[in-house]
Amino acid sequence: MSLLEVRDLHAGYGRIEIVSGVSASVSDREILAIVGPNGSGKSTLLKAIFGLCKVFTGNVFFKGVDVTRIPPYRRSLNGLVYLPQTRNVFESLTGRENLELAVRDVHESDFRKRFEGIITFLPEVKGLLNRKVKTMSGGERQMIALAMCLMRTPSLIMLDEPTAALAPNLARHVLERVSELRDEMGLAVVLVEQNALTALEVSDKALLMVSGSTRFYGKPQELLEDRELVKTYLGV
Amino acid sequence: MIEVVVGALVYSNLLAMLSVGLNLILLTCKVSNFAHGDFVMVGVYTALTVSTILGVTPYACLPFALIAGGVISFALYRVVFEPLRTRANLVMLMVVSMALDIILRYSLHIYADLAQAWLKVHTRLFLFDDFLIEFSGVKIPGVLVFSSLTSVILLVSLYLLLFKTRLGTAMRASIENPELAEALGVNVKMVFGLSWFLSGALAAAAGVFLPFRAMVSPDTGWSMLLPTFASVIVGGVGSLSGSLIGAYTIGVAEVFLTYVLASLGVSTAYRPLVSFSAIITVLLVSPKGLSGFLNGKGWKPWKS
Repeated sequence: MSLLEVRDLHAGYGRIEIVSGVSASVSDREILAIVGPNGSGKSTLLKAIFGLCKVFTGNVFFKGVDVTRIPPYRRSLNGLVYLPQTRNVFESLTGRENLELAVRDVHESDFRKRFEGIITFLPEVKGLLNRKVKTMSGGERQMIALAMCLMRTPSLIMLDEPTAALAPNLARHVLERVSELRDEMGLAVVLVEQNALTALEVSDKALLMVSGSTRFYGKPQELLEDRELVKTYLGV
Repeated sequence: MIEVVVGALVYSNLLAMLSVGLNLILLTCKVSNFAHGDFVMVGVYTALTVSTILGVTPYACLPFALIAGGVISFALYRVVFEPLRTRANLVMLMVVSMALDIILRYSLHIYADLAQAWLKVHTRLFLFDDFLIEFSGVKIPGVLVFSSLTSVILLVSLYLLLFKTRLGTAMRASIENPELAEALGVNVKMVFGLSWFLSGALAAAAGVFLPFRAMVSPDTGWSMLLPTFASVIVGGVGSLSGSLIGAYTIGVAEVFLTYVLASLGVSTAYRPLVSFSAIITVLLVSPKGLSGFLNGKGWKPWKS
């Protein structure tokens, strides 16, 4: 059974449909990369899966349960975590407060245990705990944002362009960490990424979106072998 | 003169509770809530009703007023402002709150009529009886002692809630970025609902003390709105500590200037001039109020 299944989803804002009839699924320990040109509806699809925009028709199933109509915070409590592209940390809070906020519903001892686990995986977070987020660089903020998501011990994590506005070497570092999420922490990941080639390298499935619809859905290798699609839509 | 000082302090205590509550709603839901003054009157009429029925001093009715103001404010949020939160712009929200002010005010008028018939007491232009409390030979009006204690206890509790509890962290996070807070499992609707409850409860608490100093009717809440907005603007929209400073600045200035004008033979009806002048001056000189003037920009509740 798939961990996340999206069936014929039509979603958007107000009366405007941005995502038109997209279907996809993600299983345990699997990375789904969603790629496509700017404005193709990738971020809107993530928001629709998480319940942050209007779903016109279609369904979202998480762990076999139809979650299409339940509020986002309950999806999050069930183990689905979404990391927005921008404004994904609380600037007025310190690094530690950000992490505490992510798991304010767990006991202190549990918090420490999870925290130790995160520090092993993201050692750079340790030095950021007492700093206000607004004093941090873009890369440091992404680390705090990722650590916040991981503190929730999710089953599936949805990342919306985690490398946006990062220097190329830092971007590669973040994407390597994404594959480690699957390999070391056993998570499923939905990754929306501009940096298409690197994203496809680390993923198990690929969804190419064009104008809100599915243009390709399958193995990343097959997408990379389709020269015309790669040239037309991924600009390579 | 002592009477003027007492008047200024009591009035400032009430403005402090009112302006911190009004600012909290501005922070969470971006609503300039024109119905905020009516929560004061909910406190007034709860205190009048309960004290008449139980035959106790209105001070003892504070818990009832807190609950009544909080519940009505929370209900307004759930029924009106929550559905509008992501759909309406700031102007629409303000106009809606004006309409709600009218609805609440006339509901209070209806309640005042009914209460007058049931309780056989005056429900318009009435005063509460106060008593003096003696501290080492000095007699102090009860309203000064109780309003000061109440505002300190309530505002310190609010500070502790916001900055020393996980719920407070969730509230601050929801204020800064509701979408992200929701993504991390915060029930933003409930957190905002709580802020409305707290705001209404603070205003109703102020209402318990108002009739000890001024004759009230259901329309009195409206007249409290102007100095409350002035306190928020002087302190800085978004700064809760700024609201405290603003409340004492406006409260003391209004009472003393009115006293000086009255001693010169000028009518006390010009009292609102102080608040209006403060609003215009601050908006022209430092639109972010005192906290903005001292700190530059950014949202810094309490830390002005």
